[in-house]
Amino acid sequence: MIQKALSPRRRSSLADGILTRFSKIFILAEDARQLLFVRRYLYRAGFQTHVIDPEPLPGGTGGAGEHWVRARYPAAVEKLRKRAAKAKTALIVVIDADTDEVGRRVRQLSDALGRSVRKDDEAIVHLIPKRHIETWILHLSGEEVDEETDYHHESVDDLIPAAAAKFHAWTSPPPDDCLPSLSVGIEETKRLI
Amino acid sequence: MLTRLYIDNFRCFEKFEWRPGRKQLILGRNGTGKSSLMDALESLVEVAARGERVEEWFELSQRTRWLDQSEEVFEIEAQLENKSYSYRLVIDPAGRPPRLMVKRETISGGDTRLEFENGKAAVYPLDDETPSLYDLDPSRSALSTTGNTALAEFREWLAGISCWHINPVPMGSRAEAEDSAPGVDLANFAAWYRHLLQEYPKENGAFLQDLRESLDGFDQFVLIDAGENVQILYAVFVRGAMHIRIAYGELSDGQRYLICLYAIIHFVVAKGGTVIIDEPDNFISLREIQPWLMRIEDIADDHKGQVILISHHPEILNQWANPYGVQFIRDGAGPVRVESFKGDPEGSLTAAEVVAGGWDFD
Repeated sequence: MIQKALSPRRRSSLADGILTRFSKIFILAEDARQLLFVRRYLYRAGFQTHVIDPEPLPGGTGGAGEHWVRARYPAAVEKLRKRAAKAKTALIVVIDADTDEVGRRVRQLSDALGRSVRKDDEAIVHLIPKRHIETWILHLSGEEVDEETDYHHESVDDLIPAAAAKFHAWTSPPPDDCLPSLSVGIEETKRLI
Repeated sequence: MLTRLYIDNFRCFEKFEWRPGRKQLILGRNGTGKSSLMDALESLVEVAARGERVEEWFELSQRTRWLDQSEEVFEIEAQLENKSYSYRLVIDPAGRPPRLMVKRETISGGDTRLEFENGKAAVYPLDDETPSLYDLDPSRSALSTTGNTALAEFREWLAGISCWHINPVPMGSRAEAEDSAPGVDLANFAAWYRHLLQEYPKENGAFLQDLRESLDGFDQFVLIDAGENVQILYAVFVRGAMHIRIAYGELSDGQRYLICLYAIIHFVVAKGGTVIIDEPDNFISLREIQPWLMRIEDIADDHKGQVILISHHPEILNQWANPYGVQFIRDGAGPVRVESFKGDPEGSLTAAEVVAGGWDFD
């Protein structure tokens, strides 16, 4: 589906990492692993550390991270819009779907913005791994996983750089057996073109 | 990497135990032993790994004031690839006037054990129950002189633990020789860099690339001869078609500080070393903190380095306190204990807000 949606030229751009030259990319994430994954992806896409600007990471446990991202999302979007009016700016939001559907997280984020909804041409990327970011990392590392099992406590830190590199490679296009939530995440990265 | 540190009867440390992670942020109010921790580690490295005399690096007056105890105890555990090491040093005053000596020293790891007590050392190798016995001067560590290969591996790792309290003020431009031993404050940066340039040209390339991202107009460093064996370190900046040479000592404090921070990343952390950096946020501008923090984390991840930061800066707290933070805590003037950082359990406050509001202790 995604393969059809991308023209050859666009696929080439994504694969080569020739994304639009943003001067700042904010990242709003639930935890350090999500942040590391996105950062490694952005390096692959050709961005340097000075462009990447992570929002604070939350404390607490048991759903505090998901609450944190939703609570801070409107302010992050407002910050993006203010800066985007003057310079190319993007926002990448990472929030686990957990046991909910990806669509429910999208609606929750949309509801948090109220009337000022995310527009199609805004560089606001939602990455919503189901069930967790660890699911994506393991899948991208070639492990057989599903989106229902809890892999949150798996030791995956050493896999992150290679997994993020594959995430970047899969934007042109993903394989047929790509996890549904990961396919949606890859589609979201088109907002960075 | 360093997996455990135990200190007893040294300044504010009484039966203090800490198990650091590969990435760690130490938080704590003033007077909670953060600098003392660096001093203890530095002294331990000098004595146990570099063979310095105990009394040159430890003082009787450093013993914990409220304890009526003669012995000071230091223990280190480390994981080096697939080998675990456990080291223990007990120092105690002896003779008249009393001088600090090694009372007992033991190390086990790499299937080897060394015991040193009352001036007698014994090394027990893997498949030989008969130890090698020899006499040693108890004013120095037995580990520092052993020729046993497995123990020497630990000693080399220990010697590589580096504590940094960077001070740009005394840093000059003169490099009178190549210096392979950087000072804790990096006052000898020019001489150290002269050594690094010869030894690590590949790492130097990555180092310069990061500086180009961080210092507007920076291009490279050059060392220019200035008399017999003396060289002057210059930073070269590009402005249009002009190349402008500025002596290292003429750079701003912040520029010199930032250069040192990136040097630690590329020449120490990238070698898989363990580094402890006190207040890395000093002197540098706000926009430079996050890129440096991301870089040191990436390099530590890629090269299995261990990074321990001591900081109060909100930018660092907000990234590292929740995932990697520990707090050093003292009740009044009592002993230090260490606890994991307690962020906001409800997840609405940033780590910096928690610390600034004093809620981390409530």
